[in-house]
Amino acid sequence: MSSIKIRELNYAIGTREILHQVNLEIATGEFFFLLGPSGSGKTTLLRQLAGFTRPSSGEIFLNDKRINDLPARYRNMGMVFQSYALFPHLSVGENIRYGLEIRKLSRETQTLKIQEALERVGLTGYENRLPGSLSGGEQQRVALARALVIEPHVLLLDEPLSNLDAQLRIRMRRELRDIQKQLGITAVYVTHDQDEALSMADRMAVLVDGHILQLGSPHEIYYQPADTFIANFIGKANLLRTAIRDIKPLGNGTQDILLETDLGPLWSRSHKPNLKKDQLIFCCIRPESIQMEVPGEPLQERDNRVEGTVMDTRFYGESRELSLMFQPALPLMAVISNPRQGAFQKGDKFHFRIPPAEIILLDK
Amino acid sequence: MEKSLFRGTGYYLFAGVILVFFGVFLFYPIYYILREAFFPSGPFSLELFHLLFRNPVTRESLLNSLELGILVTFLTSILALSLALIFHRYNFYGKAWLSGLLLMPLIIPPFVGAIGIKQLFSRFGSFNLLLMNGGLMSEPIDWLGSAGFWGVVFLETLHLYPIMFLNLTASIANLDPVYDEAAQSLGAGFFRRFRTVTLPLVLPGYFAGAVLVFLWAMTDLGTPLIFNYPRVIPMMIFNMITDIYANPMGYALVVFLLLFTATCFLVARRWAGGKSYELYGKGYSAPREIDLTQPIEGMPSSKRWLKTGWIYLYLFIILGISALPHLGVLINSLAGEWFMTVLPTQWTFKYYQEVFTHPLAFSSIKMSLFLSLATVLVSLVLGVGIAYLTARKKIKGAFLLDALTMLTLTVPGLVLAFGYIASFSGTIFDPRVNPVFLLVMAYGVRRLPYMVRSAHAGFSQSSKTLEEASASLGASPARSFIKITLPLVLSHLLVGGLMVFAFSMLEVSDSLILAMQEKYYPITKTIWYLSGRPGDGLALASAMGMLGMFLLLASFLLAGRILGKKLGDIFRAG
Repeated sequence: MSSIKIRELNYAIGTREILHQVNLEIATGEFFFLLGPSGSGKTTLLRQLAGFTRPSSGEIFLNDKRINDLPARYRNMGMVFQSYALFPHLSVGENIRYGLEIRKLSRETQTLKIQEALERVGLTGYENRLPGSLSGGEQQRVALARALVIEPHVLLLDEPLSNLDAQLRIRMRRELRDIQKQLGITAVYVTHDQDEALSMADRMAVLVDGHILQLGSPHEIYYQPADTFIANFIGKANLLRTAIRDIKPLGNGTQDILLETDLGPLWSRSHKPNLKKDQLIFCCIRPESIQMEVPGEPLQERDNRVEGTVMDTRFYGESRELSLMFQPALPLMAVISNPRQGAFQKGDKFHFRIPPAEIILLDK
Repeated sequence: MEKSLFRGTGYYLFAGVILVFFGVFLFYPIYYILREAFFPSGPFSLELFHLLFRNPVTRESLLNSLELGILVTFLTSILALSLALIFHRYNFYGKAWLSGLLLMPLIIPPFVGAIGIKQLFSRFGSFNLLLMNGGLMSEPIDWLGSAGFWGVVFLETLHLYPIMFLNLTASIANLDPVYDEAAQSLGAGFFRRFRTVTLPLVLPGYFAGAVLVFLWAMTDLGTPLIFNYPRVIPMMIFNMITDIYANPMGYALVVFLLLFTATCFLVARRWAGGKSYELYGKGYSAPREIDLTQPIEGMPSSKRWLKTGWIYLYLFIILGISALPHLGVLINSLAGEWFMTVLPTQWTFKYYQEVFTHPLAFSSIKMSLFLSLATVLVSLVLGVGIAYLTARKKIKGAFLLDALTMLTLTVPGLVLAFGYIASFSGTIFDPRVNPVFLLVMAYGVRRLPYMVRSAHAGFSQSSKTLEEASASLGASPARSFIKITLPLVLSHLLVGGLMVFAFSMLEVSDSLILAMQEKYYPITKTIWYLSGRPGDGLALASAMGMLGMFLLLASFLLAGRILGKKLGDIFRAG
């Protein structure tokens, strides 16, 4: 079982900086995600771990052993490629056997392990098929089996689901995570799909332009984004410029903060330190935090209550998204998780409440 | 509705013209020799074949030709493979230059190179004289072996290894590096990866190239002709043409050769076709090679220089040997007086002048220029048409056009020329009277694949969507073609035309066989004719060979310039 440490890693091609001062620790058995838009350097970072490129400076440790100069083939990291990279001239069985042969296992052991590997990904009986005759999902599984069968220190996955159709992608998310947890293997997964990262990761790093902007669990990153960029990138966000008008400490570092916003005065309950009166600050309101007021529901003290007009609605089945307009001319997005309650017409006016704890304060 | 119907008809009409061309200038001659071979006196009979193979000379020639083909394929494979491996694995100073120099043999037609080699390595050639003068040996050694057999092997290997090398390196470069990386991540070292992943994936490409080399070596007429090595099939056919009416054995031999090459192609296509893979486009291309120009961690710089040294040594040996034919021809062309000495005793430029004053030399240059330009025109019209119909219009039966074009690759020039002589004698095209028309057709049929391939590459690179966009804006098909498609494929057409021109200028077997009167001799036939003439014939032939070399070099450089780095694609097989 293996842990990874990356220290002060920089990578540049010529004068173009691809990765900048990356520091990371990935614990044994962790399912770690590198999330970023395309061109952010996430795949480059993964390839540094795999050993296909060397850092310009900085260090990579595997189980506290420095592996900067260790060629890829000695790193024992199983990799699942975006295009799967199944050897097209070898059968499924031969593809899986490839790494076992190099490890000089006996023929019987190899065959046994191939059977096990195929069973693990639900492809028993496929060993004589050629990759070209498999569907995308099946190729994906073979690639996974091939990477896992060598019992790698770390499993690396480079956007493994991006070539699959939507339904299969969602099913594979669950299966991948199940397999990773069953084996307890350390895994690093690169994706640009925030849903994938949020639903599968134990921990994740948000990478933009070669910089790690934030590190944390999906929960932390969703509810405590480091800045407005991440708030927008991970999930949906309504962002408002506000000014702090009052601060009421509640103890334990918690405080209620009165904000002056275009929606009128709003209360935010925050742990954020070093806030000052009259400070200008952003506030982030997730669409699901704007809730329909249930008639007769008692209002909490300092609960925020606003009235908005429905401009448009979009139905997603399990939820409904509303474009709302608030006085005087402030458009916001809300998500109603149970769309069966209430009918929404353009121009309808409703009262909404926003819990203070769900108004997130951001410096920039 | 009416209009689109008419347009469709237009395409089919053009396809019809192409089919007629193939019918008259490819199928009719083949049909004719097949008929003469299988129905010599009316009813079906294998008598000719029976007689042919009872003849020990035929059997010997057949074995010699096979041996030649196998040896040349084997040697070119070893050379090309080792070179491809070096160029795949290492980066070193001058890599681009050296890989360019490796293509040097391509610029010399092997039968011209043979003139040079003969002068250097014959029994009393420069090399033996040098060794004997130096006292290193007393008796001359027969380097060319068995009446020139090894000379033929040597020259054909030199001429063909660059094609194989280009084929291999292009296939390797087109391979998505992700397979290599996948093997790396599974723990495979360089040689295992090369053996188990890279090589199997480029094998279909290699195989297609190998078959081409094999058949080329087997059916080459020019080289054995210069070495005067008669016991190979092409030489037998060449000698049978003159008395084809008295001795119909030639038909059987030509048919045999045709069936043999067709079978080879068919087997190759079958085999490679079943193994060709949809290789994903280029994903992430990382530098994979070992860069010997930079310090490498974990390798002392002395070892790095040693490695570089070995690579240079190997490349320089190959380049040195490759340059021998050029050198021989060059010395020959400048030799005023050269008899039984290592180097000429008198040097002169007069033969370069004479090329343009000697009546036969000059008329043959004019003839070749005319023939080649006419061939370019014919292949341009037909080639662009075929490529357009197959790549874009997808009319019914387009595959037939494509198949026919590729079929022309399987017909050796020798066979076609023989067929022309046999079938068009006594018609208005009779080559004995005036071979110009048939020469253009013969050049055209056999160079057509180059043109079609170039144009096809152009058409498939420029998107069909652009044409559709043009049509949606109201442009007629002709306008779309001229304004949008043609400019986009122009560079490819230029390269195709250039290659057709260069290859036609230096075409050997059709020229040797079809041009029978001196006034119709193209350059190649004149070179052959002069090289056998006593006195200064050899020097004049060499000077013409040098000019041919410069012509090819200029064409390749120009084509490379137009195409950027993809020059290798021109020589790709299959």
